[in-house]
Amino acid sequence: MSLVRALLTAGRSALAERGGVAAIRPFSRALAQPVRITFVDKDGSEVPVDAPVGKSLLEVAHENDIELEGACDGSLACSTCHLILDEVSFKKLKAPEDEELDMLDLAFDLRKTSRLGCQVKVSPELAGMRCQLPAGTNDMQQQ
Amino acid sequence: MAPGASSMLVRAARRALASSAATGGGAWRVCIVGSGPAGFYTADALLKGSPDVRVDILDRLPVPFGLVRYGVAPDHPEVKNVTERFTGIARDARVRFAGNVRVADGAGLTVSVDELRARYDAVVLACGADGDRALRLPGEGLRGVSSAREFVAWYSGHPDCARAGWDLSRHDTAIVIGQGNVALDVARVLTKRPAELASTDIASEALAALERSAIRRVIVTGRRGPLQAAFTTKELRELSKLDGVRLSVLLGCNADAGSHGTADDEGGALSERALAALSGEADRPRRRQAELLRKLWLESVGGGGVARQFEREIVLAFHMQPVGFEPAGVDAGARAGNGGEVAGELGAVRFERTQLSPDGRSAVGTGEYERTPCGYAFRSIGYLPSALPGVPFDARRSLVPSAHGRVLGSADAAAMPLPGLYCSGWYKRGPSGVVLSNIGDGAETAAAILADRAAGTLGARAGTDGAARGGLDAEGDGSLRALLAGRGVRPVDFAGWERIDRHEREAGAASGKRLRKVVAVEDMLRLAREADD
Repeated sequence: MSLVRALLTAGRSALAERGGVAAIRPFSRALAQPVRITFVDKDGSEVPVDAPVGKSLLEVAHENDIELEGACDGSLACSTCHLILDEVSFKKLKAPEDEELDMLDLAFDLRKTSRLGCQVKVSPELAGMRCQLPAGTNDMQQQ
Repeated sequence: MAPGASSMLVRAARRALASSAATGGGAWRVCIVGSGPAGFYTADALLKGSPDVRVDILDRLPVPFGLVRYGVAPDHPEVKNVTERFTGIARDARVRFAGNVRVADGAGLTVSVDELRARYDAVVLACGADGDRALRLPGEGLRGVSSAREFVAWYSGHPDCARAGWDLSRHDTAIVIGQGNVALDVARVLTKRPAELASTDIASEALAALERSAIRRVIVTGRRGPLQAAFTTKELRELSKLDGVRLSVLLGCNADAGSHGTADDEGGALSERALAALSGEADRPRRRQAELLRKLWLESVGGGGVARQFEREIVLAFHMQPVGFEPAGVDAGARAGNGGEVAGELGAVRFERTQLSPDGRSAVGTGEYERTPCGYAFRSIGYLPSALPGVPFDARRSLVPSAHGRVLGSADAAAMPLPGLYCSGWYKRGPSGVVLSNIGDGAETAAAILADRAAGTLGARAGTDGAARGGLDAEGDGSLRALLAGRGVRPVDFAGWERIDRHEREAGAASGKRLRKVVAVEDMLRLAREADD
C-alpha cells in the first residue's frame, strides 16, 4: 500500500510540475474506485495510472499523456491504439469481435494478447493490468 | 523515484520545452510538400522531436488532407476522423499551411524544389502518388476502360476529375482489374444501394450517376490466388455484409459461366490442409483472411443456405490475367491481341487463366483463355508517384531513390543522400499501406532530419546566405512568402481552409449529407478569401 501511495505521490508531483490537471481525477468523481493499471512505453518505462472504471484504455492513455495515436477516434477503423496486454488480464476480457481482430491484423508487433485500446473498458477486475505499447511503428522501413 | 514518475517528468520537461521555445530564437525551418497523412505525420514527429522547428506544409490544392479527403471512401467516414488529429497539428503555433501552392519546375505559378531547398533547412517530399499504372494491353483506350484511381477521385469530388464523369446506365457488368482495397472500394460503391451513400460526402454528380446505374454485377479479378490478394480482411468482410449484394468467390474458373469449382478440386489454396499450415502466430492475419475467404467460397459453391434476395452481385475471381480489351460488336472468337488500334466501346475483357509460380510470387499463364463480356473495366493495379523537376527518380521502380527518408542522388546503390532533401509516405515507399503506415514512416523521416541537424549537416545544405532563407512567416525578400507574392500565387492558409470546411458542413447539413464538398478550385479560393476581400 505504501508503495502505491509513493507512486501516486511521485506521479502527482510530476503532473504538478508540468501543470497538468485532469490526468489523475479525484476518486470521488468516479462511481467506482479507479483502477490502478500500468502503461509500459516503447522504451520500457512504466507509467502507472489510476483509470476510471468505464473509460476505454485509449481515453485513459490520452488523459495521462501516453503517446497512443487513436487516429479514428475509437471508431474501429484503424489500429493505432494497439496495446499488448498481460496474459492474465487479457483472459479476463471477453474475446474480441471479428471487426476488432480485422483491424489488429493490420497492426505492427501483433501478439496473442493484442487488443485495441478503444475497445477495452476499464473494470475493477483489471486492477494491476499492464498495457505494453507495441514496438516497431518506427521500425517499418522497407528497403 | 519510481520509474513511472521519472518518465512522466521527462514527458513534462519535453512538453514545457516545446511550448516555451515555440516563439523563441534559433528556429529552423522544414518545408513539407503535400498535406496528406504522410505530410502531417512527418510534421507531428518533427514537432515532438524539436521544440524550435518551424514547419510549413504546402499543397497544390487549396484544401488539405490528400487521400483522406480524396481517397478514403465516402462510406468510411470513421477513417476520416484522423483529420481531427491533423487539424490539431496544423493549429500548433509552429506550423503554417499553404494550399494552392504547386511545386513543379518554378515556371508560371509554380515553385521549384530547388527554390524550396534554398529557403529551408530541410524539404520533405510527401506528395504521394497522383498517377496510375497502365496495363499496356490492346484495347485499353476503348471507351469504358478507365482507371480506378480516377473513378475514386471523381466520386470523392476531386477537382482534377470533376469533368471526367461516368455514365453507368448503359451496361450491367463491370470488371475491376486488381484486388487491393481500392478495387474493393470501387466494387462496393458500384453495388451498394445509392440511398446508403446519399448522406455521405460523396460527390453529387457521382451519386446521381449511381442512382441511374444499370450495373448488376461487378467482377473483381486478380492474377494470383486468394492467399496473395492485397485487400484487407476488414474490407472483404464489409463486402460480404452489404445489404442486397451477393458476394461470390471463384477460384480461377470462368467468371462468365458462373462455375465455382468444387470443394475438393485443386482450389487447394483454401483447403483445410492449406489453412492448417498457417498456424504460426505471425500467420494470424493471413490465416484469418483465408478462413473468411474459405467460408465465402463454400457459401458460393453451396449456393448459400438461406435464399436471400439479391439486387446485385460482386464476384471475386482469382487466377485471371487480363490480356486484352475487345470492342463491342466483335464476335466472341475475335482475337484482341492483334496490336492494332481498337476504337469504339468496350464489349469484353479477355483473360488468360493462371497458376501460381512455385514460389507463389507470380502468376504463370496456362494458355487457357476466356472472354468476359462487360461494359466497364476499371484498372486498379496501383498508383504511381510522379517525377519532380530537380529530384532524382528511379523510373524503373517509379520511385524516388531514398534511404531512411533521405533522398539519394541517384538510383545507384552507392549514391549519397542529397543535402536537405527528404521524402515520406507513398513518395518514399511506393503506393501501398494504410493511413497508419505513415506514422512509423513519418517518424523515420523526421528522425533522419533530426539526426542530420544534430550532426550539423543541415546547415551546409540549404542556401548559403542565411538571410535569404525563410518560409511562409518570414518577411525577407528571399522568403517563400515573397517568392510566391512575386509570382502572383495567393496561398490559402489554414484559416482559409477552415472557412471552406465550415461552408461544406453547413451546405451538407442543409442537404442531409455529412458534408457537401466544394469541387471547383475557383469556388474553394473564393470561399477561403471571403474574410480578406
